[in-house]
Amino acid sequence: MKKHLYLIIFAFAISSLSAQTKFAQLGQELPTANAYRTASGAPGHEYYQQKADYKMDIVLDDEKQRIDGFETITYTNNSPDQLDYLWLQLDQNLFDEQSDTKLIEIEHMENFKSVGDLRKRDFKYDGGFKIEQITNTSGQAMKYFINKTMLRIDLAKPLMPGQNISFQVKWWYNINDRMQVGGRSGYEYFDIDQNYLYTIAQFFPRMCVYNDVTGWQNKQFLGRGEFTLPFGDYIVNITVPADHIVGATGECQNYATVLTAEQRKRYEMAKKSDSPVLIITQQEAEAAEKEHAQKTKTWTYKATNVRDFAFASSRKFIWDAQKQTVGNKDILCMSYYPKEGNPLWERYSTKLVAHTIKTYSKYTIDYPYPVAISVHSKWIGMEYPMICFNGGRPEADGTYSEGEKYGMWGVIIHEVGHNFFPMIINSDERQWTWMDEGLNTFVQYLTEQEWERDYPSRRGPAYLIADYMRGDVNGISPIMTNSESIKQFGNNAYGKPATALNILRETVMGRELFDFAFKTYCQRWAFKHPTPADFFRTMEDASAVDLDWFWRGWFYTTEHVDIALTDVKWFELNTQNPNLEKDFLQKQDAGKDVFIGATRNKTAIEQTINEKDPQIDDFYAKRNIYKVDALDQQAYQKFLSNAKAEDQQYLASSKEIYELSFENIGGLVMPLIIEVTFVDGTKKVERIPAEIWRIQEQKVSKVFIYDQPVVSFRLDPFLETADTDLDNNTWPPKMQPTRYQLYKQEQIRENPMQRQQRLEKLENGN
Amino acid sequence: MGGVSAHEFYFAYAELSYNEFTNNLEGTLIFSTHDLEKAIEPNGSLIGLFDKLDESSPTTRLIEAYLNEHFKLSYGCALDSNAVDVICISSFTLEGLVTQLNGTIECYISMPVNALYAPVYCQFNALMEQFPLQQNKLTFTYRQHKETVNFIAIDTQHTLKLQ
Repeated sequence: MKKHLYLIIFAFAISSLSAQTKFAQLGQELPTANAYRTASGAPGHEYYQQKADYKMDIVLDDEKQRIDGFETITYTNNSPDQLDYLWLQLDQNLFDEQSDTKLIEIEHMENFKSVGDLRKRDFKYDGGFKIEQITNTSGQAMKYFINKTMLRIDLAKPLMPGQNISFQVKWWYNINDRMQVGGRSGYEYFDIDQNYLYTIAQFFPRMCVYNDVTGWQNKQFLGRGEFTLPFGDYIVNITVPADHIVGATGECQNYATVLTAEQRKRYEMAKKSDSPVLIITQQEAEAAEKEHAQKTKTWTYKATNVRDFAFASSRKFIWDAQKQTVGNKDILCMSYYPKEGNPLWERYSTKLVAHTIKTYSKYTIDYPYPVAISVHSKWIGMEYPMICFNGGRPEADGTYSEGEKYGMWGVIIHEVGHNFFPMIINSDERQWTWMDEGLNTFVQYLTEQEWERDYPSRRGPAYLIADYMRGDVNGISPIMTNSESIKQFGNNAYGKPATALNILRETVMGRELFDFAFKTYCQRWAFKHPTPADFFRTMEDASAVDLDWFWRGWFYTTEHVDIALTDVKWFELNTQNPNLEKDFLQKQDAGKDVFIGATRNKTAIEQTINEKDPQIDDFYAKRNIYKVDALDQQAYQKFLSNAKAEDQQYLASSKEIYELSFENIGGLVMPLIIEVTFVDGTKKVERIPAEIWRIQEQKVSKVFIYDQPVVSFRLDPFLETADTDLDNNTWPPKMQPTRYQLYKQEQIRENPMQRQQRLEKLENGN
Repeated sequence: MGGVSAHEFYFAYAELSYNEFTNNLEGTLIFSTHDLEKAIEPNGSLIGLFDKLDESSPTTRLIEAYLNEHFKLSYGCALDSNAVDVICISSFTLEGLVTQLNGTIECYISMPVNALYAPVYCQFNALMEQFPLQQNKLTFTYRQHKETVNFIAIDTQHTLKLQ
């Protein structure tokens, strides 16, 4: 409804009854800054971290699917603390028959609908570590105690600050059948050629992190919260059947003894090539599948400054590689896959690896390692330093759906991306899944968009999280929830933080400020152990943008975004010019709605009394309120003589004034982005920072002044705030079509490939 | 850990609206494609096949039966007077399926209703028999009023408001 605004504007002081909550600083929520971690989010001047170096001899038994290891660990205490004992991770004990992981699983009888379900429930597999001995380097036994997935070594004398200690662990375990019992690593058996493909990780007793945040990292491995480990240097000898091909964390030190001359020649070619070069072809891999060698070979790998070590081994492997230059270094990107991965893997995997390390390097830090590897592994995606295991398997006939292709692309980018989060920027996954999965999923989105224009990313764009965040919040958790207690893991720890960062980048901070701050965080914490506070603080410190309201809303609550455009009032200036204003008044009165009785009476009543009798109408009846008289003109001249020239000019400018009212229904405060469409068809976008809600958190209004009338307003026109209800975002009101309505409007529902076949038949005249 | 493992999701969404012009309940159920494949055929023989379904496929009818088993709506209705004296239960027709490139499948459903009166009960326990942590969420729109409710394994039924 258009209203007429008088020049005299009264200012009202609005008092707020609501206490400040959404914009309160994160005081109690964050730990107090100290000499190890500063209030700026950077490592402090006394920051320290421990070091764990490993020398390992590993034997993979392809007959028994068993792995044996003998490792020498050198642990350096860089902390200012005396350590009386050491803790190690025994992640493989997840598969121990007494594992807590099975015990704490909530079960209902209705979950077991068949004998098969019960058999699976009752399946027993002895997959835990068998620790045979722990000795010092002189061979003397060390006292130790195993607490489920962790092992404590009691030291004969304390390890003092600056000292190191070396000790040896001998162990073995039965490798899990990944297809049967699951797991991030294990083996897959191919019945068709009776071969195994091993993806081996979290496979050796590994030193826990000791730091200023938690002391010894002391959360048991329950299966979901992954791990964090200290950095160190590795030398690993892996003995496998002689016809196996091995890919591992680090650089192989003895290709001269494990590869043929031809393979080495191809390898050298690949190191100089900008596109994948096959080091082992499919034909060669298929020939190897038939060998089943009885002899063994030992592959030696060396990796520097890594937080873990993993490897893959199989005689089924096809192997290709290419270089990718990052900064002034050439990185060797490689893929290992069985024929079952083709044609997808040969065509895409290594190119995706190269694209990923190049793009992540742009947004974070230059990829620091010499190699980056993608290994085919049905169904899963899992990451380790320099190597990751990725799904994406075509049908047996070599066909694949478009969804399968994008699934494979996405998982390779994601897992290779994990080299940065958390392998290099070494956050504690067991505490905070979002710190690696969320940040990684965000950069994954950026990387996907640079791989293919309009890539259908699963997560990242704000509108994709709306379904998850909408409505009843009982079933979801804040992002700041420990990894093991998260409800809805994928949406919570991957999707929502990735979306939040995207919103910061596109809407709240802008790309330049965000990218600088995000890169600063990555540079500060590369090869260190960051916490959530370090991230939150750095993003603010490097951008001069107070984001506490954003972290509070998006990371500490389950509120959602639903901001409604509840009212629009339209005003025009009163010019005080009687010629204009009385004409306006006359037109406005003429345009008023007329009661139906009055309309009918115009014809039904032939003549009223005052129409018959001229004596009836007096001054009031006869006066013309729309007529401009001399007094009106005199008053106008007086007004003009008192008004400033700029006020007169402004009054003559025919400004259109709109007061828009907004309501925060969902709870999360967000910027207001308003698309204005004018009567001439042009558009303008208004961007109001979220701080408009800083005093009034529920309802706010804002006045906009334009040179021409507006035909519509639309809130969040670019789908950038994750608004969960778009139906209350427009003026005049306009309902958004539902998915069902959009489906019904679509004309073509035929399978695209079948349609193509029909088209080809038609074109061929069949 | 990455995207191939579908079990990061455990979430299905439904949108349902009452169309007063056609007297139909119309909506969309959205699942992680591989989760739905696994739920309908636990042995995994359907994994990867939904991308290639067309509406005439027998599997499409399997999906329709599964959805009607796990997404049920009952509502007050009047047979021969204005009195709401009967609770009606109808079946949804699966009008179509579209698999999205982001790994989800959208199932478009409709159901004729002669008249829709309170109480309206919705049970939405799809996938929960396969994935105990599954959550389902429904946004119900009736005369421009929207209501969103959550369903979990121990709370699979809700009463929807007609405002």
